Formats: sequence, structure tokens, C-alpha cells
Amino acid sequence: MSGLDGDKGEVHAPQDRAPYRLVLGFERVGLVALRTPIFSAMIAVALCVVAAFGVGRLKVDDSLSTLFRSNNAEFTHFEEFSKRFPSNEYDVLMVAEGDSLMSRDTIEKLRDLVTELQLIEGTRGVLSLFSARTPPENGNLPGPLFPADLPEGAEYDALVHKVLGNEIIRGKLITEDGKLALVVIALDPAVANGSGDAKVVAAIRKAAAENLEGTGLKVELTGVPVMRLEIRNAVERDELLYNSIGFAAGCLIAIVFFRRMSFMIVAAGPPLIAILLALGTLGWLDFRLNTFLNVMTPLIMVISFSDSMQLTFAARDRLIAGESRHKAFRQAILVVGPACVLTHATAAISFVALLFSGSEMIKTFAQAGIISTVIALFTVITLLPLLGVLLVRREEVFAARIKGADRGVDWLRAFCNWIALRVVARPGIYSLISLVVIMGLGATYANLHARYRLADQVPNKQQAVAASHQLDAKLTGSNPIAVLIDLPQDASLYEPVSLAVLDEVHTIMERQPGVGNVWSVDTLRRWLAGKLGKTDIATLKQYVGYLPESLSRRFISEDQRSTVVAGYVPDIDASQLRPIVGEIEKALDVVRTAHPRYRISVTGLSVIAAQNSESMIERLNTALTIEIVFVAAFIGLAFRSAIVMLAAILPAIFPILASGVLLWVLGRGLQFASIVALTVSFGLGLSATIHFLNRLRLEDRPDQDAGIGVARATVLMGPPLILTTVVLACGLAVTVLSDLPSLRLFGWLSAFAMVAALTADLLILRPTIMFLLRTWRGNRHRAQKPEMEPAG
Amino acid sequence: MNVQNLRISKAVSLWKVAGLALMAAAFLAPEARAEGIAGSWSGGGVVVFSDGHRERARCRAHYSQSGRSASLNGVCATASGSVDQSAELRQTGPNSYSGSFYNSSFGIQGSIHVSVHGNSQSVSLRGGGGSASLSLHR
Repeated sequence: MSGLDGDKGEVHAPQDRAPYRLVLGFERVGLVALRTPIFSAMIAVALCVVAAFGVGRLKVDDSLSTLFRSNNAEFTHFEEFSKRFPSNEYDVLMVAEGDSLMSRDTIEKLRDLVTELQLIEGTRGVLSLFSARTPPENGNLPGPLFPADLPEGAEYDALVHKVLGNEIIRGKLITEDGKLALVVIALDPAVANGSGDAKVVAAIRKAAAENLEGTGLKVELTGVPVMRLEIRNAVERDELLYNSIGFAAGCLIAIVFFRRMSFMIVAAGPPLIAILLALGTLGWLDFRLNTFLNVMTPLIMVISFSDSMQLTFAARDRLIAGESRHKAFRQAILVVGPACVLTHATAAISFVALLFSGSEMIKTFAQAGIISTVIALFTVITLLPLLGVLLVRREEVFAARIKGADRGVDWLRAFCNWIALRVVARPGIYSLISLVVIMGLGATYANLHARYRLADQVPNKQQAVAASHQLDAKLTGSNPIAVLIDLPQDASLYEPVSLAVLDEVHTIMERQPGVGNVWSVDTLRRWLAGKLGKTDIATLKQYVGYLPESLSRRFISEDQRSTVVAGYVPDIDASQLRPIVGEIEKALDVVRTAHPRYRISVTGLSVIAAQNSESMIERLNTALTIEIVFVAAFIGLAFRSAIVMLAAILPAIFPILASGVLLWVLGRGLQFASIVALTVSFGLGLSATIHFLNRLRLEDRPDQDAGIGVARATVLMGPPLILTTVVLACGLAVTVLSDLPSLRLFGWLSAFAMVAALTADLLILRPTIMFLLRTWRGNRHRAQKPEMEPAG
Repeated sequence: MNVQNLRISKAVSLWKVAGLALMAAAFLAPEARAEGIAGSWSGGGVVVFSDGHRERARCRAHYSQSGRSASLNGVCATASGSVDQSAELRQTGPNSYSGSFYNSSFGIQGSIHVSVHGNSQSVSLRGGGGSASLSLHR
């Protein structure tokens, strides 16, 4: 079987057969480089060098709030709050745990560590159980709860009892059983935001290891600076990992099936260069790598590799049929090129849908995706034929050797032949089954709900998440939540009304289930009232003055116009956090009504996530639905056929619904990573559909039964489609090696969606389009049976 | 003058020269044998506050020296807080320096005395009703 244009051994130029130009001849851009191959190769090399410098400029954005950065009121308010009270964002939380925590020797060493931590350059204050004071006596300053020389024996036991009963630190900085202690280390914002955070965190770890040696205590670090560092390290590591593994996988597959190194280079080279050029461009445009942008590498690889495999396959078939390499690659561009252009256009449209997200991170991802897709298209259609004419040699020897002995490809053709016979025989039944299945999947997909949890954004094989879970379990939470009280212009914090407002807000937070570790200036006021019997404002002001500035700034802004009641919540799903925030807001309404001049607002990263995540995910989901309609219309327009438009819808929806139902079955919910995976996979899955439809428009004739064209196109395009899907699935599946949960989810879900897309292409698209074509043509040629040649 | 008188006269001259040398060495001794203090030092000790309670402390100090004057910038920390210190000192003996310190965190000033012995030094501070005794090492 010639495997070319459906006729035995004859080669026809596309312009003799094609009824119209699919993408208005845009694919001919790929032929420009063939006019001057050496010069074009030199330009390509020069661009690669420039791109390499661009890659060197790429930086990592490890901010945890970027996902929610938008122009809405909640985020703007959060940013204002972060500027006035930067504490939580720069707190490293050290969790020390062990049965012997409260033993005399261990406490001595822990105290030495806490002292040492304050001398590390880049830190600006430490809060721990050693910060606790005893009530002052005889008008003196309050002394430390732990005396300089620790007592021994029964006296030490009494001290331990006193410490564990201290109402300020109990349940906040030390658990009630005395087995877990929290040390809060405030970093200098300049260090935390610059490149010095890694050095400071390393110094903290070193100090902990040195000072606590022999104690048996387990020490882990968490908090925003540590999470950012772990995200940055994971993102940088994953870039290298995906490039290497994706490259190796693609090369291996290409060699196995093409059976010649030069074909492997022709197939694998353009995608790799596309990655380099795309990432280099992003670097020159000052894009910053983040959790989502890190997906760009495997994404470009799979889009480009898919098209380069299609083109290489087409050229290879022509070489086997006896054409020269120049003609073979030229024809491959003219025949398969339009589908490549349309595929990239479809992928670009799927990124356009993401531009409407409320999240800056996702919008940036969409912008990067559009840029990368365009670059990948030009790279593949110009470089592939160029590499083909430069590297493929002695094509006549190759043709003679492979003809009749192309086992791998022949097996795939036989399989596609088998599929084609079945779907062509009963298109109506298969179409009906497809419709019913999709409707069933759709009903389940509608029950999929949005999910967001901070831990899903952070590497979960590192310390930060493990330590956060410990805090969640034993000290009521590791995620900060805050109520910000802005004072009226003519009011001071140290006046009765302001303090009354603060007391009410503090009480509401303390009593709220799910919120723990509540601190504010009111904590000090209550302590003074309870231990000293002092309730006057002058004493409170005096004691606030005694506090280190790094501690007082956590609760009182520098201009003294705002104060904060800070608490912690566990890292739970946003859907569970929303009711807590709602209850706090409702309780605060009473205070707001009583004191309308005081602006009282709930804020914090966890609050922003709880409030915005659901709406953002659902907005993306809606965009995806609309995208399906637009893309189907776009394809129908390109093929100038309403039948094509209708036929493209079901196979486009199937992988999305199937993936969504899988998420529902696994109880995973719809997360940011999954919606991005579905959106992008939708665009990639259409690659299979478009290549088939492109082939069909060349094989189908209005005067013959639709089944003939469908069968020929299936056998011709099936093998590269299957191979391409295997490459796509492997290329995406490598992300399961990532430490980032969101990236892992993206990887396996996308791989599943690609396989679902191939299934839809073979078992839904073909019977559907055949059924529609036959119905449209009035069954005129039902009596004709498709001419099927045995594969190979 | 006979030979014996000449020998005695020479011996006396030699002793005079040696004596002059020794006297010169004695004058020059405080600087020639002075313990330098410049550089970075760290260590710890005990701080006693004005109300009598004590806390263990660790400190880092950096001295710069010019002739007989030295200046100090440092930070000391206890388990519950840290303070920045600066001081101006003057060499008062071969191994000792004295001067005044200023604690910018609490606005306290007082006196400081440092004794240097090779790569170790003892530091004592008094001011604001409290005191501190520290041992630092290079």
C-alpha cells in the first residue's frame, strides 16, 4: 500500500486534489527555508544562540499570592495589609517536636538555639516560649519565665508545670502536652524578597542541627519564606528534569519507529529548538517561571512533537514510495502543513480563553502560551523540512530496505484498518452510543466542585508541608488569618473605645471554631489585668513600649493608625474555609454596626484563597465550555463545512468530560491545575481531530460513499496519530515526577486526557462524521463498499 | 690608663647601653606588646537587669582599631530579644580597653571595660542600672 493519497502507488500533488486551501496557504511559509538551506540553517543557529541568552534571563516567581493577584477589592486590600503588617509573610516557623522537649537539658539547648537564631544575619526577631514573662514584682520589669539558671529536680518539675499552664503561650507556642514547640523567626523583608532567603534558611537549619544535637528533637521549618524557597527549588529542578526526560522519551520513540537516526533528529530536533526559542523569548520578555509557566516546556514539546511526527511520517512515506528528499519534505509540508497550522491556531485559541481569568498568574500563562505556540509553529514548519533535506541521505537505499519490512508502522496500519472496518459498518449505532456516553459523563461532570488548598501549591515531599500539618494538628493551624482594624482619623489606639473594639474583635476570633493561636494587643491587656490587676491605659502603653519593635509591629502599624488581631487556621480546602470566614464576617457585623467609624476587615492569604478560588475556577470552567463552541466553529470555518463543525464537537468534549469524571471518582475536585490541564489538553487533543479531518478532505469525494474516504483517512493518518498520542501522553506524564502536587496533577490528568482524545478520535469522530456525511448526501452511495487494502 | 681599667670602662659602657635599651623597651612596651582588639569576636555571658533578674546572652562584636582608640559595633541576644550596641574605647593598658557604650534599642548608655588575652577577651558593661559580663573569642 502506498499509504499516500489512497491510490495505489500514485502520488498526487495536493493542489490537484484539495478543493480549497485550508489555512489560505499559510503552510507555504515552511518552504521558504528550503530555497536557501545553508543560509537558513545559519540564521537558525544564530537565533538559538540569542535564545540561549534569553533562557539565562528567566527568573522564578515563587510568590504564593500570585495565583490570586487581581484588581478586585479583596486582593487590593490584602496588598495594603501586607505592606503595613508584613510579619506573617516573612515568618519562618520552626516546629520542634519530641517526647523529651521539656527535659532540662533539652530546654537548655533549645534556649541556646533561640538565642543563636537572633544573631543570624537576615533575622529581625524571634518569638518562642522563652519570650514569656512572669508577672512583675514590686514594680519591676517582668522577668523571664525561664530563669537564667534552670532549677533541678522537683523545682524544675514545678517550672515545667508553670510553663505548660502559662495562658499566653499554652496552645500557641507550646502544646498542652509539652511535646511540640513553635518558634517564630521573623526575617528582614529585604532579605526575604531578595536572593538572601536561601542563605538565611540554611543558617537557621545549621543552627538548629548544631544546638540541638543529641536532644532527639525533630525540627522542621515551614512558613511562607520556606514554602517560597521550596517552590523555587522545585520549579528550577523540574525545568531541567522535564527537558531531559521529555527529550529522551521523544528520541526513543522516534528511533524505534523510524528506524533511522536522521529521521529521529528530523522529528525531535525542531521541537527541542522550539522549546529553546520559546523559553528564550519568554526570558527576553521578562516572564518569570512559576508553577504554571513551568508547564510550558512539556507543552511546547508535545505540540511541536505531534506536528513534527506527522510531517516526518508523511515525508518518510513519500521517500519509501521513491520520491527525492526535497520533493518528499516539500510535499509533506503542503499536505500535512495545513493541519499543523490549524492545530497551533486551535491551541492558541485555547490559551486565549485563559486570558479572561481573574488570576494574573493564569493570564500570564496564557500570554506565554500564545507566544510559545506561534514560535513552535514557525520553528517546526520551517526547520523540519530544512533538517530533512540537510540530514537525510541515500534515501533510495533507505526506501529499498524499508519497503515491505516496516513492521512497526504496518502493525499500526493493520490496527487502524480493523477500527475503520467496524466504525464504517455501523456509524449510526456508534454515533448514538457516543452521544449517550457523553451525556452521561456530562451529568456527572456537572457535580464536580472547585477545590483549593495551599499545600497543593507547595512541594509535599519537602519539610514545609509536613511541618504545616503538624501545626495544623497540634497547634490549631499554620495559615495566618487576620482581622484588620483601621482607626478613625481622630481616634487613637490607646483610648477606651478603640480598646473596646479591639477586645470585641479579639473575643470573636478566639471563640470562632477553626481559628486558634489568636494574638493582639488585647492579649497583653488581658494579661496585665489578670496578673497585675492593672487595667489602666497608661500601663498598657508602657508595656507595649517594653516589647521589641519587631514584636509590636506585628500588631500595631508604624503610623499607629491600624491594629491587627492575628490568628491561624489549618490548611484546609477553601470550601471548608469559606464558612469560617463567613461566620467571622457575620459576627464582626455586630461590631461594625456598633462602631461604624472603625473599618474592620478580614484578610490574609488563606482568606483571599477561600474567597476567590471558587469563583476563579468556575470562571475558567465556563471559559472552557465556551471555548469548545468557538473552536468547533473555527474548525468548521476553516474546513468550510457545517458538518465538520458539528462532527468536531463530540470528540472535543469527550476527553474533558472523561477527565472530569475521573477527578470526581477520585474525589479530587476541580483545582486550578486540573482546569488548566483540561483547557490545554482540549487544544492538544484537537490535533488528532484536525489531522484526520485534513486528510479526509483530501481523500473524500462527494460522488462516493463517505465510508471510503473515512476508511482511507483512518488507515493513512491512524499510525502517526497513535504514535503522536503515545508521545504526548509520555511527554506530559513525566510531570508526575515533580514534587509540586499541582504539577503532578497536571501531568497525569493531561496524559489521561490525551488518551481519551485518541479514543474519541477513533471511536467517536469517525462514525459521527460518516453518519453526518451520509445523511447529508442522502445515502446515495450506501451501496458502495469502502476499498480497503491490507496494511503493508 | 691600664688594660684593666679599660676593660672595666668598656663593661660599664656596655651596661649603660643595655640599660638605656631596657629603659627604651620599657617605654615602648605598652604598644609593642599591646593585645590588638580589631576583628570579629563572638561568645556569651550573663546580663543582669536593673531589677536584678538575670538572662544568658550570646553576642557578636566587631572592633575596628586606630592607634590606641577602638570602636565597637555589636549585637547581643537573649532568648527573649536582641539589642544593638556600639561603643568607643581607649586602650588603658597592655591588655585592657575602657570606654562608654550606647544601646540604641533602649537608649541606654554606660561604661564598658575589655580585657584581652590572646584570642579571648572579657567584657564587662555597666549602665542603666544593669550590668553584663561576657566572654568573647575570635
